[in-house]
Amino acid sequence: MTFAFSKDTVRKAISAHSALGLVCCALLYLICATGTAIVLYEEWQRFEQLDAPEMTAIEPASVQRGIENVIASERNKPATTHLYVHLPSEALPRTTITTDTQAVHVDRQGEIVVPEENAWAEFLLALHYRLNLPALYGMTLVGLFGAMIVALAVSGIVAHPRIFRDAFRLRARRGDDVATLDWHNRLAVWTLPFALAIALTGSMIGLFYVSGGAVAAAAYGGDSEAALAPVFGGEPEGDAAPAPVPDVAPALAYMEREFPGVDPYYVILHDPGTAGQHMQIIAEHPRRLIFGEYYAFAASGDFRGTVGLADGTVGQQLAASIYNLHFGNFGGLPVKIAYILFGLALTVVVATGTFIWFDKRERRGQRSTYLRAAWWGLVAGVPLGLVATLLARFALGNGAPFVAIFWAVCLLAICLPLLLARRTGSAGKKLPDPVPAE
Amino acid sequence: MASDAPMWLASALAIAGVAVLRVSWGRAKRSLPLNLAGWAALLAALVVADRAAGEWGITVAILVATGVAFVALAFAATEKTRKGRAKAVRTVDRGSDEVTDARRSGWLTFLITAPLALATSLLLALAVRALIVAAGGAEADGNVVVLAVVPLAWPILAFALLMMSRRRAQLGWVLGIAALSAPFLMLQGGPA
Repeated sequence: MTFAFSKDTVRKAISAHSALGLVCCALLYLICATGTAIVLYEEWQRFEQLDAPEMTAIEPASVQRGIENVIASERNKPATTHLYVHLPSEALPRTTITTDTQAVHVDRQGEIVVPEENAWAEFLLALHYRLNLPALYGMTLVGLFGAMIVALAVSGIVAHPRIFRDAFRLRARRGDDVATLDWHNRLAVWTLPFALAIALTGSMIGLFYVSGGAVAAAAYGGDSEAALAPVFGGEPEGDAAPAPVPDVAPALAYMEREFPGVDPYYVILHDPGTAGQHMQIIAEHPRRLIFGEYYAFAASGDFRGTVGLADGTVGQQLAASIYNLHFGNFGGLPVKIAYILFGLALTVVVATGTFIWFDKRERRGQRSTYLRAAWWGLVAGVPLGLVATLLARFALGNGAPFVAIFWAVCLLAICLPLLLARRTGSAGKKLPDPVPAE
Repeated sequence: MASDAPMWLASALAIAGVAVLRVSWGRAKRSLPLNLAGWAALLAALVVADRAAGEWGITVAILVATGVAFVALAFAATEKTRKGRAKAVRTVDRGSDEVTDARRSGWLTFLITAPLALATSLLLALAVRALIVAAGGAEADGNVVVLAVVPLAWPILAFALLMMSRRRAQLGWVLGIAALSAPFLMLQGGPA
């Protein structure tokens, strides 16, 4: 028994697939390429600042000393509302303390060593997350494009009547339109589970302002924090009266004693130095997709309970799994390498999809010289732009204008092939002979 | 390490599953037993991985299977191929610009499949939330369902709408789903 869509359905699906692809291709390519690079977010941070102190672990007393040193360094500034301590982890073996106004690395004794300088990694993350636009617009746009990967995957399946029979057929050595088609189809088919996982999780993150905003508007009077509270826990009422800085050492010691199977990697102080202050420790649970569980503590170090990301409702566990599943940081370097390989494949799928459309146009006798030149420019321009910004990071330092450099390189990379195509006249690509695609 | 054994077994099954399918689909004539064996090995890999490490295990098993398929593709890419002429080029099938009626507005198609379908998907997601909460489900589950349904419902709806040749059918589906979902806006409740 074989299952197959009718010819008419396949024809319509190809039509829908190419329409969706054409609308989305440029930004989708950018999102896929930057998403592949950002898998190494922690590694990039280490590469950017090689002289930052590194350690495999830090004593709770040193963490406390580091917090006190950082708060003391801000004595003449407005008090920070939150203080975050990144504890050394396998991917990022550094202790970094971040407040509302600064981020510093501390050594094993808790002494401040150097300010954190990871502007390039942050630029790359912002480019992928929100296309360097304000979060509301950028994240929403990226979320919309993530959803379009789902539409492209579904339409691609329907448009591919021999999805299984051809699954291992890759006529790459032909070097012609058939090879382009094979690269597109084979990589798309085998990256399908990965693409769907990446697209759905990315879209859930990106469309938060839309879908989370809708829940907030429909059920919580527009209060987004109230809509998130059942999932990630709420923030208790504050009390601005002054109080001594909380002691994280007993809380970290409690974690080590009572929860030896989990790995604390983040400490969050809410409203430090006020009577309403409280602490949260985020601990990674080995062999789970969740980014961690929140362990809540009073300022005195008394344990208050967990939020339920590890063992709460299905919705909580699902929500907590989105980030790791999207960014591939749930299985160390092997999983990261797999994510880079499949991310590259997805990037190639997007790039070749547009080339297939040009080939089709040219087979019909419509020239695509300039469009093809511009697309080649973008395909090369995005990685070139990333390399240029990374070089600028080392040449100009942490304050280099990464956004301007990246977009200028992209623009140049698009314009140069266009000018070249114009100078060489109508040369472009010679109209090809029909080629088999059986 | 003893506790790693089930995950190694799941990985081995995933590798075997892809390998068997490679052999089966590479034959001139399809072999039903080989096909079934390949799919069964992949299914077994998922089951073992789930038992060993839940959703984490399943994800790792899928990554292993995909990785093995990439290795098979790498070999396929190096194989010498025959360059012949086509009796018909499948991809010369009519593209979107040909299929679309010249009188049909691309902007209206965009409006229906993008903002209108997205709004409909939001209403549908909120309706699912209302049903979960009404059925006694957790508030967290209801809220997360909205986040999950929108990125799933909208692209599928948009694709389905693009497959429809008639504007009336497109509008009928998108407005119909919206009309059925809209009353659930009144049943959102709020914090328990």
